[in-house]
Amino acid sequence: MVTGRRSRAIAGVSIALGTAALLLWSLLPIYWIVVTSLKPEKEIYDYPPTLLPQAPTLAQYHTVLTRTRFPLFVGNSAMVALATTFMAVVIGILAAYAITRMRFPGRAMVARGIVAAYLLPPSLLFIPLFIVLQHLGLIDSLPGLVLAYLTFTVPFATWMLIGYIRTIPTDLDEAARIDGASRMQVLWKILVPVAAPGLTVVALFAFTQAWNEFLYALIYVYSDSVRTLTSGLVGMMMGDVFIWGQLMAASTIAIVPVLAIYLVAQRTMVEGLTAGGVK
Amino acid sequence: MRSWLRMGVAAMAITLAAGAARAADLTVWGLQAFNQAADDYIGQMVRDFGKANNISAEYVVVPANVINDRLAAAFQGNAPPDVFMQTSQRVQFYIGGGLTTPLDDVLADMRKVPGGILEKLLSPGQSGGVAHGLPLEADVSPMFARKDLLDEVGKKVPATWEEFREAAKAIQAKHPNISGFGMTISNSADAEGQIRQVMWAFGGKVMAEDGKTVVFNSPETRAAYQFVADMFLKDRIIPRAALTWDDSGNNIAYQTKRAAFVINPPSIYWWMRENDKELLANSLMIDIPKGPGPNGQVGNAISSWMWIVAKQTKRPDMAKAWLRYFYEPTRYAEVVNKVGGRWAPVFAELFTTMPLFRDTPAFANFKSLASEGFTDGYAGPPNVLSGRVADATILTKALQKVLVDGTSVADAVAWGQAQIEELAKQK
Repeated sequence: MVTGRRSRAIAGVSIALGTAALLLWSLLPIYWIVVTSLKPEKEIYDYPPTLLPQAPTLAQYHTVLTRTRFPLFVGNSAMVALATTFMAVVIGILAAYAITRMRFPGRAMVARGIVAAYLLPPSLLFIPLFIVLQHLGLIDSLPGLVLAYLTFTVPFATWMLIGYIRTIPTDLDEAARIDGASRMQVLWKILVPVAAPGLTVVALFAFTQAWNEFLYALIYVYSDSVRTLTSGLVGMMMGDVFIWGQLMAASTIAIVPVLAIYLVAQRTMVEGLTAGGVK
Repeated sequence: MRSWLRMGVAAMAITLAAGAARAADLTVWGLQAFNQAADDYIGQMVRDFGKANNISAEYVVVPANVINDRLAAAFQGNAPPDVFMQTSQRVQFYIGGGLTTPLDDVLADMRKVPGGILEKLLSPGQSGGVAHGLPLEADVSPMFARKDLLDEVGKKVPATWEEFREAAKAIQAKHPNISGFGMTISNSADAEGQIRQVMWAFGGKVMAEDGKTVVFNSPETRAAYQFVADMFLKDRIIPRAALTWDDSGNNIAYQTKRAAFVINPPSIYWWMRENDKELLANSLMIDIPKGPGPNGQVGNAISSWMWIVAKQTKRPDMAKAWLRYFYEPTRYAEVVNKVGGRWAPVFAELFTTMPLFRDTPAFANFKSLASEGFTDGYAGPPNVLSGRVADATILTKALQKVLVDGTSVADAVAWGQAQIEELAKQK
């Protein structure tokens, strides 16, 4: 009895310590970003560094929000991420439905092709894709960036939704078909509502991917009017001069929308992740 | 679900409504100029130039760390900017690739400016005596020295590397938390530049005067490498962390008062002026010390950013007219002024007429630094090979072999020689 209690206590302490270590590992960089954003420039360079700001200030945020074009970059990122997410989810669900519910030659190959497309590294794709966008007249434009982002968000969304839709019994579709529903009606009125948690997860991941994307944003858009926040952040590193305070303030601002969405959609996400293809 | 759909459609519509950007009549890409005011000013100059010539002209600011990728994609896509900036170390790649327009006529006009231009800055942009790139600033790379610490240990400003080493050791002995020398020895661009400066000071060189013969493996180069190795391994005045620094590592070491000496362009000066006047008052910008022996010399280096006109431009005359507009002395002086000392001017007379250089004691020796420093490729002219050697960071890798792997200096330098010779064989 005593031994069992001791084992449970040791296990409890181990789990608590392990969790604390993981939390520290994950949250320390974010803590450092936020704390640095609240320090004046000179204090950032003080040695030894201060764990808490000695003279907390919002000056870095004020500068970023009023004296740089960062708010515009955030707006551009939001537009691109929302458009990408919407299109990726719509195309993804249509493709996933076709692959899981319809019988046609080459179906398995298409499914594998989608994975292969997702696995291609952007560093290989960026020049061919540049040429494609150039011919379409979409370089240095937000639609061009959305199109570029669809090259990785659509395969991702499709692959995730294939897994999710497979968990939905086909009886539901068949019942609806017997009642005279068309395939599109089955998809939109039966499968989409049932797959809502899965769609939410896919949308969140697609949004996050588009929000955080760096390489394409750096190469395909360059005018200030269409730059996104990731490429805008690079502008705060001028050769060997890093404007750390502004960089950290801008990074904190960049974290907020994604964090808010994740917090709001947390329950749906867990449901979607445990029921879908990644369970 | 419907509200989400509506939001999605709205976002997509707004994005698509933004439309594809229409190409301007003249597109100019510039490297980010170290402060927003300078970028804004050059952007305004481009737009004013466009208005004056009744064309649409666009200025795009590109951070230095992405310019190569952007230009590679743009040239591959057959849509390069009409005019673009590049660092002097990379200009020869574009000349060698046949991607540039000769600019001798613009250069001739620049030479007519009273006092002329700093001719030494021209070589990285030349090929066969023809100018394909024009320097728009001079990047000097002096040594920053903590005068207060030197005074504390009773040492004078070091003029030779031996004096430097003794001073750095004395400072570190008195202040164990301050590294004597914040020398970058990682894989960053700064490291490749700094080991060159030490090597040049000792009389070593990568290329002979012909720009083809590799003469890296020499007694002078080996002496320079041994000297750095001794500072790192024996005296321990170069911090181990410097092996992992990026280009901002030495800036941070100096700005946090953890290094008594560093080699860097004046970005550190600019930071101190904005953020730490006390440190600025205790700092000096001095020549890179002279090396030992009959071939020892002051190891100052210069580089620059250069304007290039793309060969594919449909408006070469307009592109050149923009360059003439940019180099008009009054307008040009204002650009240099906006950068606040990070750039030195290419016109000699501006060192004495611009208050920024005339009245700032810290910039007193900038004219000599900018006129007499070594350029990449020394003792030959900068060329494709010297650019390749810098890109491959062979000098740094050879040094790391000594510092990290324990390879002997002789073997490491011989390895470097073989690597450079391999590069020289490539077409």
